[in-house]
Amino acid sequence: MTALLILLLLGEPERLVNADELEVTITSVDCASAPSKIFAVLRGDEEATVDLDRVGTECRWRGVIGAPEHVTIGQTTVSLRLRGARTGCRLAIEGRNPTNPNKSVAILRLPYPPPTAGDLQIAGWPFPGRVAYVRIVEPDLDRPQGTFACREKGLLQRQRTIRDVMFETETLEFSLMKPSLQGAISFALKESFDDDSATHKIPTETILRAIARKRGGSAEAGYRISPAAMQNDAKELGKFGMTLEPPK
Amino acid sequence: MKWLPCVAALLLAGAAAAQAPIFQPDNFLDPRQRSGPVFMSFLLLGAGRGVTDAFRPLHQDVGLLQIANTFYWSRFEAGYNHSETRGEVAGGTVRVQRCGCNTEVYFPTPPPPGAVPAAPLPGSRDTASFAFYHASASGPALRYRFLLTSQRIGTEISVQDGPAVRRSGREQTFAIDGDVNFRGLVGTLYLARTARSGTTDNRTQNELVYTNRFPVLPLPKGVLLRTALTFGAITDRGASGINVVNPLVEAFWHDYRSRVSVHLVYSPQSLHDGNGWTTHHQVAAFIERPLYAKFFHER
Repeated sequence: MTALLILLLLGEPERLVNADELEVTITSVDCASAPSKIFAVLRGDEEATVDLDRVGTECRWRGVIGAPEHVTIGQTTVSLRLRGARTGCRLAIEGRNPTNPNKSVAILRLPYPPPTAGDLQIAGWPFPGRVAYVRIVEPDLDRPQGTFACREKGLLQRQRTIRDVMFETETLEFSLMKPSLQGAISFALKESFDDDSATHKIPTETILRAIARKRGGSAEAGYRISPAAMQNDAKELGKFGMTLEPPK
Repeated sequence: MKWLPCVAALLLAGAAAAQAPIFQPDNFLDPRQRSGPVFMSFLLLGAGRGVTDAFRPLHQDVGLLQIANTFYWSRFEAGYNHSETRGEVAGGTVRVQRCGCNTEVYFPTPPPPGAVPAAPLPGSRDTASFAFYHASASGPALRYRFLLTSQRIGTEISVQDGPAVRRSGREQTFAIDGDVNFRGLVGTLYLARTARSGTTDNRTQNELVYTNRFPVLPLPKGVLLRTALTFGAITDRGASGINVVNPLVEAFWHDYRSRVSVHLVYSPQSLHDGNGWTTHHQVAAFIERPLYAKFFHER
């Protein structure tokens, strides 16, 4: 009987807890310099973000995760963008909603990360409609406990800025959003920018040309300038609603 | 500015891809970029000063118009270009005078063997090409191309106290070029034989030149800067060894809305013959725009 009970307990499926609210607590004393509004990236998808507002003067930020998004405790990775700083990817723990004890809150408790991040602007034309990027993120430098390496993805469409990039440690991969034009290229940002500016720029041409060179294309391959290839690329991109034209 | 009227007159195009490199539009299209067969027709319109034709100076400003048609399928490319070039001296027919003596002596006297030959007067020219692309899994595609160019050359010989005599001749060029990608050297090796017959200045020259392309440099406002260096040897120049050195700088701008590409080119061409080196400062401006493009079924 005891053995059967043990087997049943072992065999019980893991209980998944979904939270529709996220709370962040900065444990270090330097939290006063943190902005009143920050945001969190869920599941490594920069299109799925949660805005967090500071709670009074406390070192605490809260935000509601809009449906259908949620944080699954112990599974959904969360990373924070703190305007000038960012965290690595972490897993939240479960907490109770003080106003509704039946509801779970995803909680992150962490020290304030070093303010060494800056924005990366993608500048210049021509710019195809959509360029995907992947941020390859290392664990937090100073306190790696609780963080792990992860890959976060995003899309450059209207917005041309990638927020809070750790130029020292992150690697960026860009790729055109079209199967036959794919060919991701990587930028080790520390090697790409050798000055200490808070904001850096990558010309779009650099990305496109590097992608084209990688896929062996000719229009932007670096050695040939072929209007025929440009015409062909424009046609191929057009099938996917992309354009090489600058915006009006 | 003498060449401006020439442009206005829509001078029909000089083209032969390799014979007038300064007006050489690039129709390279990597087969890996295509989803299926493609046909493209381009119109090229431009003007040049100090330009040469197959490494022979024209000694006049020219305007040109070219229609280039290319069909791409599988790993192949077939092209037909028609070009019309016009200069300050009317093209089409060469007018010479023959002396009344027993030997065939013409005025103006053509350059002697061993000297840089005179280029044919600007006129109509047709070029047919066939190319094969070799594309590995990674790295740039390489193109190997055959070209046949033909230009009619009429000659009107006036003789003292006699009726003028007309001759119908032509100049033909057969060329092979192949792309090279070897340890950072990216360029094209070009081998050609140009022969002129049926004229009062029949010449033949063989050309073996290599054009090295350097990485394109992006400039502000979407302008791309292309640089290349051509060098090689041409026969019947009175100087053996390398007798052509020809750097090229080209600013290229493509407007994605109108699909017009604008080229500004400067290309000093140094030629060595029995009299030493001479440099011809070629400057050209031309635009090209697709006239028609057909993208066939998807693979």
